[in-house]
Amino acid sequence: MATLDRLAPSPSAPLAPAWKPRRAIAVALIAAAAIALLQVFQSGSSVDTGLSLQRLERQQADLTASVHALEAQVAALSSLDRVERAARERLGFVPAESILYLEVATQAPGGLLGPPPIATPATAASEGEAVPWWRDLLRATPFD
Amino acid sequence: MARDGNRFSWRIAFLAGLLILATAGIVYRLFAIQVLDHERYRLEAQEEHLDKRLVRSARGAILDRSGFPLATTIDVFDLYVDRRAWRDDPAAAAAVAEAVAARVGRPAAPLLARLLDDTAGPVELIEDAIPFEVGREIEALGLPGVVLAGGSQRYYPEGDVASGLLGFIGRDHSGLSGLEADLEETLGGRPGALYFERDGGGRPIVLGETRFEPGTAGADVRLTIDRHIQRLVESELDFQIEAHDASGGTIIVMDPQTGAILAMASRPGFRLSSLSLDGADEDLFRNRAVTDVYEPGSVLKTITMATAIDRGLVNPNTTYYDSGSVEKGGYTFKNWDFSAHGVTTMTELLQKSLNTGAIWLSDLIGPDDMYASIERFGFGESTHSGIGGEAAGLLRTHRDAGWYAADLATNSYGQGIAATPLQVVTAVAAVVNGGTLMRPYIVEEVSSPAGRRLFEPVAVRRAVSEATSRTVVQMLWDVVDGVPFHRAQVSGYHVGGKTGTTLVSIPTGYALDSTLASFVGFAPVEDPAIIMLVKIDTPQDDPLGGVVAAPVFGKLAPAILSYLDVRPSATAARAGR
Repeated sequence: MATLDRLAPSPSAPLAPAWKPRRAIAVALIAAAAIALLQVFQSGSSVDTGLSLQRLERQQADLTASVHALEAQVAALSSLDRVERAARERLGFVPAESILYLEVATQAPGGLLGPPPIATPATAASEGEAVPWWRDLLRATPFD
Repeated sequence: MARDGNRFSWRIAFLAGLLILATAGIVYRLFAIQVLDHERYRLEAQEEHLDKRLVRSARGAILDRSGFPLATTIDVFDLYVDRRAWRDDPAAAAAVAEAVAARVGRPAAPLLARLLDDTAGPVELIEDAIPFEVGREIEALGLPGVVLAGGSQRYYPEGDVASGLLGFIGRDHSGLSGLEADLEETLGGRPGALYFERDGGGRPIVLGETRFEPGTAGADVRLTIDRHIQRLVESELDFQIEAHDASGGTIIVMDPQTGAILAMASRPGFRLSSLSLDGADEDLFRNRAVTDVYEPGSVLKTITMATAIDRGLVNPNTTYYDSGSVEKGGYTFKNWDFSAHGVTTMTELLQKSLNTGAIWLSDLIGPDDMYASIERFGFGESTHSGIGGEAAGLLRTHRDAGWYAADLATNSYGQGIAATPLQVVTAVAAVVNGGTLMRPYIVEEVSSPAGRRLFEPVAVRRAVSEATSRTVVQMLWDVVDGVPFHRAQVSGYHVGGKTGTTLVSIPTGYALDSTLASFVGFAPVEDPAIIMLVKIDTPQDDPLGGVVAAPVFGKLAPAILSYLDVRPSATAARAGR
């Protein structure tokens, strides 16, 4: 008994907290689980990204094909055969049998071509002429 | 006594040295493999694990001069089947046949028979060029054993117009003939590459390493060809060949000022809409306007006359005496009409197309100047138009072995010289455009995302002086408009030109009952906007160029000139024919 007492720590010194194996194992397990979960999430995210990429590439291929198809459609609609068919069948056009050339010796008029205006606009000379007072008044109203 | 363990032993030292050397060798080898040769082994391993698939780039379009597509590309799918997928379940094959047949518009029963017939192997191409939307529909069904491979197909909005000129592409989407082949590098672009990690079976590993190298899309090519003029020309050529029961023909329309080819058609040819390469006659694929040579005949009198005028030897009113025949080098040469015309001016020589007159001119010019001039006009060499298969023609001069004095006589009126239709029209264009030989060209512009390249006309050299050109143009105007009822006349326009009627050459000489009827004409005389060569091969009803070929010009020129908005020559109001 005395031997055992000698081996025991002195009751006056405070005990240091022990690092228990169970705690270490628990921490290690939690860390391992966290790492494994992280890997799972990363793999999942990577797969998601890959699938999104595939989807976007497919979309791009579809859009490119649509563009090509539309270009071909425009070309087909403006093809000479189609235009001639439409001219003949829908509009009743026929090929011209003769070509008439007319040489016009008179010079074309300048300015806009069209019917003459209903009212001649006031000229600069008339602007300087004396205007009756009632004319001035009328101009100020919407009735002139 | 105890043994002394510290005594040096040579045997032990030797063994230790050996061990050290061996270890050093191993370490060095490891260093060499892992550090020095690291890159080599890395690439070898990569080659083992990585596969490469070429990704075809979009092929460029071929456009006419106004930008309308003549050949463009659409996306399609090729449908393959892997018969191993339904080896143990024939009902699956039936379902596949039913679903596919309904969507591609084919009967199901023959398709099913084909699916079950494995003599072609486990994997087979069943249907090619399926429309893109239909392919996506089939893909969405997830049918077992069905694999859809994306591809592209050439589409021709103008149908068969310019078939021979455009050519076609093969299953690998490379050009095989025509401009598709000539411009393969430009149109085809550069393929991209997809690198991916593969498993032992060659299949891609989903999450493995991938790398994509983008390619370069093909550039679009805009031609000088006008689709409307091309269509007019082809339609008329087909009509004339049938009307005269001819074996073929060629029509070329060109801008004589620049050398731009506005239309080029030749028959016999092929149609893009009914093209089949199985057992095809490859002769139909060539562009006879540049590959086939012929003797130009009297059209060459234009060159002979231009040469004589350019040398100052004659003018339009110079006369010679036509006795109807001339002896040369032991041979007797006669006019085509076997007539004698007495005192004849140079203009009349052309109007009546007198062989004796051409021979008289060649004697005046002499062989040195005559052949120098013919070569200056481009005969005997390729025009370098860029069109594939172009022939250089055949020209034997007095410097060549086998030349006889009689050759100068025959060459003066266009026999004994072989030239392509393109060479002939280019040479006459040089006479009418002020005297400059222009290089004919067919590509106007190449455009890609990287930029645009415009091709400018190229003046090769001066063939004759401007004064000579003006003189000969007036004479050629007299040949057409100065001859009553000439069939090349065009109401409202001043037209110049020259007919040609050549016997067909055969190995033993000439076939006396076969001719090549041709006409080269231009309008308007004051400022030529177009020059046209018409050649009809072996017409059966009439042999003469003036009867067979000249009217084709008379029919096409008004339509082309009014389409191009070329101002008429006539100053008074006239009604068309």
